[in-house]
Amino acid sequence: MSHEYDTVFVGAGLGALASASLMAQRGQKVLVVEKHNIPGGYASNFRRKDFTFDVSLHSFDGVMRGGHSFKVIEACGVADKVEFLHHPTLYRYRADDIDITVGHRDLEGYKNALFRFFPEETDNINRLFAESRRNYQDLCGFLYSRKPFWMRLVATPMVYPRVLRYGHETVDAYFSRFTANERLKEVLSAQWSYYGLPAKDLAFGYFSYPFIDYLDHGGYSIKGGSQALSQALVEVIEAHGGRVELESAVQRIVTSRGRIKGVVTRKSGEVRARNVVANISPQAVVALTGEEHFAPRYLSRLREQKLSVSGFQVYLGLDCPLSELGVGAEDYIHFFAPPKTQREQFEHIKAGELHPDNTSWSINYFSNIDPSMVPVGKSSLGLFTLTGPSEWHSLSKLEYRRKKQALTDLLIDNAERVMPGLRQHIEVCEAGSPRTMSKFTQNPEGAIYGFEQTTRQSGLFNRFPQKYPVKGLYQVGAWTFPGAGFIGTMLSARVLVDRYF
Amino acid sequence: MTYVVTDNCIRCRHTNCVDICPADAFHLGPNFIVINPQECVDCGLCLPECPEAAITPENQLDDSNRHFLDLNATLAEHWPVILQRIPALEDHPQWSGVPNKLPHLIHEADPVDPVRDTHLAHA
Repeated sequence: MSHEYDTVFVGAGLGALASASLMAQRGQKVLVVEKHNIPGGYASNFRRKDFTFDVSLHSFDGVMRGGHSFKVIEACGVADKVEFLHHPTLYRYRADDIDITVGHRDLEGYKNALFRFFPEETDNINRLFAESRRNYQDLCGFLYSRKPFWMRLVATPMVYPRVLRYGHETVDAYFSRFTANERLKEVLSAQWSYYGLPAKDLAFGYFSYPFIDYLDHGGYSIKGGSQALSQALVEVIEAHGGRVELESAVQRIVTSRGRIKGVVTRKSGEVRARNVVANISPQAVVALTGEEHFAPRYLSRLREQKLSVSGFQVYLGLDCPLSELGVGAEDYIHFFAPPKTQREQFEHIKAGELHPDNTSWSINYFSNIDPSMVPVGKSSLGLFTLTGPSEWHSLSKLEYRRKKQALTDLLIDNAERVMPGLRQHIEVCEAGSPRTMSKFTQNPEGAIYGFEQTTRQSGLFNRFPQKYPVKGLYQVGAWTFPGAGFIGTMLSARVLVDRYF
Repeated sequence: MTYVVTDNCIRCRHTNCVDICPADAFHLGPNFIVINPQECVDCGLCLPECPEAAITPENQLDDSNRHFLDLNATLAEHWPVILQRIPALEDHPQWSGVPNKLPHLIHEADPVDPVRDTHLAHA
């Protein structure tokens, strides 16, 4: 074997790039191997005509200078290489009975809006947010402590009691400690599509950090799209002697006597390494390593893990400014909720029965945040809905094209109702389906959030572990702790490096 | 920018590249396949799929294979869009890795039978 590295990363998603930058800065020799022609995974851009689109939702919670979430950006060495643009509003929730706009860093304004719709719940709402903030402080204490990882674990019950108290209950169960109002609980979890599960099934431990971070510290996008962040991380890695190999692929993870020996890549052939960190699905890791290197019990537990839901996103480039279609400059994302409970909606979502009467969907006004990504005088937006994998992956290509077009039309029809005249202004239209997600990430069933964040699969002890039963083999990114999201995957990098490197 | 199919594909034509293409940019010929530069969205997904390493991004073409850019564009105008992978040419093993296969290229497209050729777009 001609090349030698301390650590090789499989896949150049945000989790890998963040951990590679942390390790390279500590003097480790790292190699990141990526199949695609650009780095970043879901943190990347694509172009159609003169429009540049961010692939995913492109929303960061709380990355303001001095804030907790900014620490991970600083630690990765990119704080001065990227510019964060705050969202003028966090979101607008639109249902038949309730219409609430949540302002940027305006928890008091949000509470007042809730008081108007739920006047009898005033005290409960105040108590709920006060305790949620204390819980956030506990979580930050745990995540960002400079103490060794084992010491933090031991100290948790005494120093960060809420992490344990609430960590294993659902969002709904946590809210129920303060209120019995079902509607209020649903409104409080208006962003549930970001997490991929209804509040009644979603782990509070995963939800609780961004929940408060968004409200207290705001939502942000990266100027130039999230590709700028991925590119900045690559620069840090290369400046510290690391290498990022694009348009390659890890073809095999090589082990010997239960320990990592290296990898075989398409471009470099055999590469020797002490550690391999995977930023691809654990199912793919097992396949690349060979099932025979894992105990049957481990494999059956992996098969029992439930995958998260997938999503469908339509990207539109418009030949006019958003203001011409009645969109305010303060709009970032609108969530449209039908008169159904989240659980009822989720049943329809899993079955692929998508309709504005049954399932929620959202409009993301991309170019309101970063007009530099579209030509002058033009604009862009995204239409998004969660969807189950249903038959997306088994259709013939012709049937697939029809299904994709039908859902694209449905979402544009939805949007046309709130933005009359939209259709006439569409210059560029592109859509990403669960099949598209699988094509680019090779994640099974187009799962966009790794494993589902139920209480059984969430948190430090229940999330799919960062360490494999093969010595020197690790996992980072959405599939492991804490989970998906820009901050989620970068935190997983930080926890991985703190704990094992 | 576009991706370009080059010499290595001729007389092998595995078509592994087709299923992964999100833009339906591949056009099928009798012993070669090309990418329509008007349709290609530069995603690069097809590149690692090709067992003959025949696909190259436009900006990595050199003097030895730059002429394939125009060839892809021209042939795409005459050949039908292929939507689904078909078996490789039968004698592909004996042509794998053979250099300078361009003289073997068949330009004339096979006639399309809408009933038989379900792998092609008939629009």
